Amino acid sequence: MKKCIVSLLTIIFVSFLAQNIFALTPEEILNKVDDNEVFDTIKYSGVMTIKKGSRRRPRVKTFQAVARGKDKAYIEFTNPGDRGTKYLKLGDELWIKGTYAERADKISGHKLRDSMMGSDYSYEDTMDNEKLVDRYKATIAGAEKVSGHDCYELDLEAKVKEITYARLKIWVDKEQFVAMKIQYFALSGMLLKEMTVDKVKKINERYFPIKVRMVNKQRKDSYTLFEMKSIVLDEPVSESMFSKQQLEK
Amino acid sequence: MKSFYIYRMALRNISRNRKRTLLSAVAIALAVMFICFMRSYITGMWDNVRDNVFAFQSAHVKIVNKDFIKEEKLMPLDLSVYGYEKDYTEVMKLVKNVKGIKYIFPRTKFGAILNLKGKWENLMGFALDPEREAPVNPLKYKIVKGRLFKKYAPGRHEIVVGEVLAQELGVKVGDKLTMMSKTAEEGLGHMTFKIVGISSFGVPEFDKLFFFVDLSVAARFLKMEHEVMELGIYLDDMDESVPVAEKINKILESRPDNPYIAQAWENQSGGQYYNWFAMADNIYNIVYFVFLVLASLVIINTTMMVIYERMKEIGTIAALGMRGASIVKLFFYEAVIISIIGSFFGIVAGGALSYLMSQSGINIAKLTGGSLSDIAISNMIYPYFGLDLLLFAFVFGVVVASLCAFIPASKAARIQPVEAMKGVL
Amino acid sequence: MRNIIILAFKNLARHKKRTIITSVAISFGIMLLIWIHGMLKWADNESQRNLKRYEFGNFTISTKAYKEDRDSFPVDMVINGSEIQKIFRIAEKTGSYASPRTGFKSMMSYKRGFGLPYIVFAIDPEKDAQVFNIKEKIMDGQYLDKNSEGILISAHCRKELGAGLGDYLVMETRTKYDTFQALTIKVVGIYDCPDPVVNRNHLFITRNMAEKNLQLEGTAAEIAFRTKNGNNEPALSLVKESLSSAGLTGLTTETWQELGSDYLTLSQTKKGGSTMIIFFIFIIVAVGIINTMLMAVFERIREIGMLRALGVRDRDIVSSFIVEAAGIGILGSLIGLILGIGVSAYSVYHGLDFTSSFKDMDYGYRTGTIFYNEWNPEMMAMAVIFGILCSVLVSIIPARKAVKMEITDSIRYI
Repeated sequence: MKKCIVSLLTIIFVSFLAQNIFALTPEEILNKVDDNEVFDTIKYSGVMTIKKGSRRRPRVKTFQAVARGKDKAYIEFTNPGDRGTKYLKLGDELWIKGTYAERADKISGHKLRDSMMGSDYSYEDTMDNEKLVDRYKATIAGAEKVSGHDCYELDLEAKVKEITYARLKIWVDKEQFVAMKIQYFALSGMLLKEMTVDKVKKINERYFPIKVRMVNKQRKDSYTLFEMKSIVLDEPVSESMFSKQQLEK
Repeated sequence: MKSFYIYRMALRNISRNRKRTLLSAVAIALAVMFICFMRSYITGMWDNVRDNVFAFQSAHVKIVNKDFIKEEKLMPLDLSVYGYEKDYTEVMKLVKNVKGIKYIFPRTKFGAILNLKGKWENLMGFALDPEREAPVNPLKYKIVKGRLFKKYAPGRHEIVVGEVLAQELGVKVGDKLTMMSKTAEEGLGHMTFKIVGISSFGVPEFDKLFFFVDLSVAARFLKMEHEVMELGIYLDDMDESVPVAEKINKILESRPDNPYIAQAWENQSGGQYYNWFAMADNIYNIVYFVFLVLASLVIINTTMMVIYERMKEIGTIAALGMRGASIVKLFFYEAVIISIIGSFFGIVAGGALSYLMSQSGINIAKLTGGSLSDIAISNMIYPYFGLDLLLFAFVFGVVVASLCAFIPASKAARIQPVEAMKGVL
Repeated sequence: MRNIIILAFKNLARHKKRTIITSVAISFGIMLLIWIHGMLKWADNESQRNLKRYEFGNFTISTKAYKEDRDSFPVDMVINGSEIQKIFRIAEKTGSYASPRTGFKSMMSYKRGFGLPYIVFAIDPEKDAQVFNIKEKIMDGQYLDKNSEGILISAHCRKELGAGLGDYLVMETRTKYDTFQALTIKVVGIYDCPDPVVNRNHLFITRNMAEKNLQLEGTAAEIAFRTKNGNNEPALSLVKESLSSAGLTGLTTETWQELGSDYLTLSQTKKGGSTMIIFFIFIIVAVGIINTMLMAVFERIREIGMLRALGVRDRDIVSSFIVEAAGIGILGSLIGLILGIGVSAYSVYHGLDFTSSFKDMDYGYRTGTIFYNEWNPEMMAMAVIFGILCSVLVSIIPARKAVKMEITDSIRYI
């Protein structure tokens, strides 16, 4: 009997230990998500399909993007309506130049809050450089299946005051460590936007969400579909790509 | 007594006392002159406002996207007139044969921002085709420096900016401005413009906010090659705007899923222009009426004076057997002749004054002591000049003066000769 | 001299009809001058009062950075809580009321429809009511109380969004730390104020609400002052002094004149237009007076000849005409003044209602749509003096001329 009790305790203890060894902390999950998206350079052609309300026709915008790390990016639009529009992200600065402008303009101040090309992404959404773990305190809220993937459900509360979204909810794929779904909340807890990943692709041993849908929950029938095509990772990119000269050329 | 005879007598009376005649005539002339000039001033001032509203804001009838009206505050460029298959000219073709339509102009009004030393300035752009609009649009006469913009050519993006705006931005003809806007596709509109002209409408609110570009330039800036925000329609008779708009709507609605609506100027922006004009008309009619009454008082006064003064004469001719009706006629004719002479000189003087002022303009800002020197707003009012003005003032002078003369003259007929001869009344 | 005056007044009484007609012409003109000027003065002053009552108070205190960027309503260049307390003490010391305000640029939407931009001000309802007059303009529902969780919207906003009392609006904005905030807020009151700029753009919530939801943290973007005597001075100088002696050097003051300078320069131009109208009335009144006075002299040239033949001195004749003219002028002007006061008195309390034509329209003045009059003693005095002077001046020339004639000619003068 005594043996029985001991072995039972052992089992309980071992299983408890195992849980501690093999389960990930929420921070670790977030780090894995961040790591998954870390690259030296990336090149891809993008397609944005923007729908704003039931009355408006969806718009399709295509672009070529080049980025180095998280703080340098260059985007040039290629669809007929926006051909020649260029964006350059240099650290904290965002420069833009239209087809018919002779000089680039810096987007600053409250202009950063504006929507980028009419999408459900604002300029500041694209300017996010910091890691999630640095800004949010995460807790695991449970597990759930999102579009066929087993996911951790994480609740993120802002740790710092200066932050765009006070609260996020993230569903992270348990194997691929891709954020399959993100909900963006206002300070009041009201759901503002919801991002869902429609398609994930494995490139160079890493998983990339290549088809993403962002839905504005405050407006009827308003969403942005974001697709990445012909992705090339970690190929050398000339540093001159990320200069104002290139932009104003 | 025959009218002709009375008429000759009246004529003789007029030349008998030249000084008094002159005084009456001068009084009438002065009143008529002021009526003439006042009307010229008010019409000119009001026409200016009305012209600007019709030329730039409302047209007579406007075709816009139905959904645009709801969100006008946000100026959504994607709620435009884009035609049916190809472009907006389809809509123009569709409605162009409606009876009463004189011109249809494609136009686009849009918001733009400008980075001025790190601060964003909000501006309003107005894109139009100046050649097409030449018969209606006063823009080319409002250019105070430089010239009108030309059509788009690669690298040629010309604009005309308002005078006050230019001053605030510290720019002059030849300078360049880079502006940003949302395109119709909600993309980024970003263009460097060259200022070729400075415009002044004399309305500071307007000159502070607006700049003008060619439609072909805006088409690139806003990526609106095939669409415009509105079709401004001008009619042969602007009073027909409501029925014409109805006819246009009938044609538009015959298309399945029609996205457009035609609005007569009376019904635009919740009837605001109509109410505004009606309001101003009322106010000015009151002001105007007040002037007429004042001027009439001057004339009544003069005529009464003449009659009281001649009371003895009236008594005498009445005693000599002239009948009441004839006495009334005698004075009435005299008054009519004097008022014709007075009114004539009145419109000559008033007309000359109005004409001169209509050419040179009146700077109302200067009248107040020129405290606006820090912002050189040209507050010029160009009084109106036209034959109808002269005719009106003339008829007014003659009719009012004659009618006013009629009252005391008819009284003269009823008085007793004896009392009249004593000069007591 | 006494005789001259008696003579003049006898003449006035003798020509009763003429005296009356001339006086009526003068008085009508004077009345119009007073009335129209009163209305224009009202429109101008009311606009200025409204700037103070609904937009700025007498003056505001804000940080220097905020002042520079005021148009974009920044919420991060603010006055902090302890500074606010110091400012309250300064306000108390100078006998002024002070109300802290923070404007949040917000998109308001109703039933997930399109959003429209407004400025939502976080106010302390009690303090704000001491400085601004929104409270008196509630047309439906309630004014905010300290703990109200609702929003006060304008009549114009109600029309634009199509939402009424008791409906829930969604307010999307950014907090002090630029964090997204979206709130569902119940409309608890609707105001309709005569300042069209406020009516179109401004909505109100409580500071407590903003504290809870917008990370206000006791700060305020600006503090508006209303002085007890209604004038900027002496309170403004005192406040400036106190600010620097309290070491609040990062703060600055702006008067309502500076804040509303855009409007004020424009109104200068408008004044040009109304001056023109007043000027026209003056001219036409002058023509009326000149005309009747000339008549009065000319028709009595024979009398003048007679008087001179009887040995009356020329000077005395001219004087008697002047006195007579002055008599008519005084009579006309006084009647005009009484009529003018009467009309003004009515219009001061009962305005002309232009609501149907002017609703929600920017017609240049910052007034409501009911036009009142304002008492204008300086114009009344001016009009009366003008009436009298004008009569007197124009009578001098013909009277002088008449006494220069040969007596024989003037007696025979018809």
